Amino acid sequence: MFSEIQPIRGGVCLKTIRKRQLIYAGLASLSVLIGILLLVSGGVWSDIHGRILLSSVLIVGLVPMALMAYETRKYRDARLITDNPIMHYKTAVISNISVEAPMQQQTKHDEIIVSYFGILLNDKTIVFNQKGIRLKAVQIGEGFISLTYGTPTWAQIIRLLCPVIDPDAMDKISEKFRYETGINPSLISMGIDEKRF
Amino acid sequence: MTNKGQKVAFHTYMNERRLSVIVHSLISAWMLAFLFEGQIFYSLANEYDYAPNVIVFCGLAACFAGLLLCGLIIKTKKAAKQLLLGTCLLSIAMSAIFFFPPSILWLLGIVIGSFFAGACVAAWAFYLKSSTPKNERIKTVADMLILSNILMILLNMAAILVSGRLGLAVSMIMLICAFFFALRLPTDHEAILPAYIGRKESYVSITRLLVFLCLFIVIITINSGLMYQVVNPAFAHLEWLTSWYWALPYIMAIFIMRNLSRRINRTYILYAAIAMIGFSFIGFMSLGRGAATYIVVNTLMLGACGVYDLFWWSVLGEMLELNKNPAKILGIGLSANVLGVLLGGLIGSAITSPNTYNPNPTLLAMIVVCITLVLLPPLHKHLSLLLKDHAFLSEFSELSAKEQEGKVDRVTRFGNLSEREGQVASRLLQGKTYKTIAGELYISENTVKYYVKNIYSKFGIQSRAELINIILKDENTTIDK
Repeated sequence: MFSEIQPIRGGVCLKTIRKRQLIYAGLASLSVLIGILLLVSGGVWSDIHGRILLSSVLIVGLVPMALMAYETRKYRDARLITDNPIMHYKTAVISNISVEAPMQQQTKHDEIIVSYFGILLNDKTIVFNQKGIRLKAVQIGEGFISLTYGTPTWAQIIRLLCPVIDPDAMDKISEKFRYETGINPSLISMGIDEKRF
Repeated sequence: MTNKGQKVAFHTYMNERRLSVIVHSLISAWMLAFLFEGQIFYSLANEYDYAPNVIVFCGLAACFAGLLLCGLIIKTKKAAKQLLLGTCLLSIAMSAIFFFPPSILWLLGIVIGSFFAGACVAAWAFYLKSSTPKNERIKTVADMLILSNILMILLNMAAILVSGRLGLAVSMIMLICAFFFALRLPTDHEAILPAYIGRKESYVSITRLLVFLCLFIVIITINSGLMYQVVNPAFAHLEWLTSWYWALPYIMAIFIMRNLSRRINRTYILYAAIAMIGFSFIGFMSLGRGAATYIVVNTLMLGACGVYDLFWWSVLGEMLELNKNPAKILGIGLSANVLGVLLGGLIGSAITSPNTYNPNPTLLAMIVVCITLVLLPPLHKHLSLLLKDHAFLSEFSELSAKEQEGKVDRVTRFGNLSEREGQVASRLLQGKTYKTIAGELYISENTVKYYVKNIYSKFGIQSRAELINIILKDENTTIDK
């Protein structure tokens, strides 16, 4: 069911990303620590094996560092989404359709947050209204919400399947979309008539 | 207002401006020639074989404190005048101590004198603000700098060529003159130009601008302090030449800058000044220690210092408009100048000290200068952006609430902004910080940053100044149509 439209603090999605970020940070720190220990213990420069070991540790250490940077970025995006929610519901099935290549992809998700800055699907983020990607259109139907986003050169449609929204909640969500994004959602009723809010 | 009334107002304005320039120049000349490592002080210290390092450091620190604290103590023009008068009398008494052999009183004299002199310089801001329109302040400041440096040259020559005591006596006469001129300074609002009456103070925050300006001043003056410690001792044997030529290029540079047309882009001159400092150090390293070298090195270096000093003085002068208490702004800005001199002096002393092993002090000094010179262009660029930003914000803040609302509405429609983005844009244009906007709209500061990024990207711009520029251009286009 839909929750109140207000900042969501410490959701499961955020915790998952945070946990992963900490694991990578730990691994990166460990590799740096091993590198320092190898340097301090001496003999690294004179011994070829020592040099190979040090290089390997540093190279291996780069992987968790890169992953940590990726997770940090993702956490920042996720935080932005949870701070500014428009819709928040617990379970849905996702259909991902590309405009250029209309291949359908379906995934199950437990928690979904739709915001001015993107969508958070558990620990996966889809960003728009930042980094040059804009939200272009919103369609709200019975049991689904469809969002079109992209740049002037490409576009992507994401359809979020959700429980049927009652008229009051629909009004609130539509108003929130209009207020936050400037986009008037198209309301589609049973696929027969379509009205613009 | 009648013609007669206008005439009276004009004369009052001219008198106040001239008087304040004369008073400040006389006090500054005393400060430059005596208080702050001046030739009079060094001449007297030499006479008694007195090591001046501690006293000089304490004097600079006291001046720094005086400049900073003045804004907190002096809040009216009347208090500023009283401080000017009191400082003149106190400085005369303090100077008299130096006719006697060195004692603890020398240290006390320099510390107390420097503190009040610093406060006095900051208090001049009240007269600079009330007697000169914003865009003319560069000329008033230039006049003051030129006059005080000419007087300083005269005092230096008296101290070097005749005796330190004569220089001190002449400087005390100057202080007496300053006292009598200061008595004529107006303290009420009658001297304020009609244009200033009813003008509202800008409420736009100037902290960031002031911080960057102070950083800019510190970096510039580190060079001056360093040069004083490294270059000057190398030409100590050219006493006669250095006594009068030292400040001449500085005066000439200020004179040229003062009379430059407003249409000329001063940024290029600032960059030329950077090159001048670099060349002067190269000249100092590669040429000999003769009179010709001194003329080349000093002309390049002091000329550059003149350009920079007038630049930051003029920015400070314009910023006086932005605070009810101008002494606070001028005090903070000038304390950055003193801090820079202090730091430069300390670096210079460390480099040239015989106790420390330095293979090539000049090269080390050159490296420090190069580092500061590399920092200057980006700092200047950022400062210019902030100034532009601030100028636009001030212009916008002077509009009525209704006009502001109308302009924001137009921009919102033009940029296809959402209602929320419009709210953020409106507050942004009012000069509010991200934190304030976040508090007012009940969103996080980080969210505001992203909204702002989006707003800028919708207009294809990079800064708040550009956004205001769009609004003002939009207004001009509408008027043209």
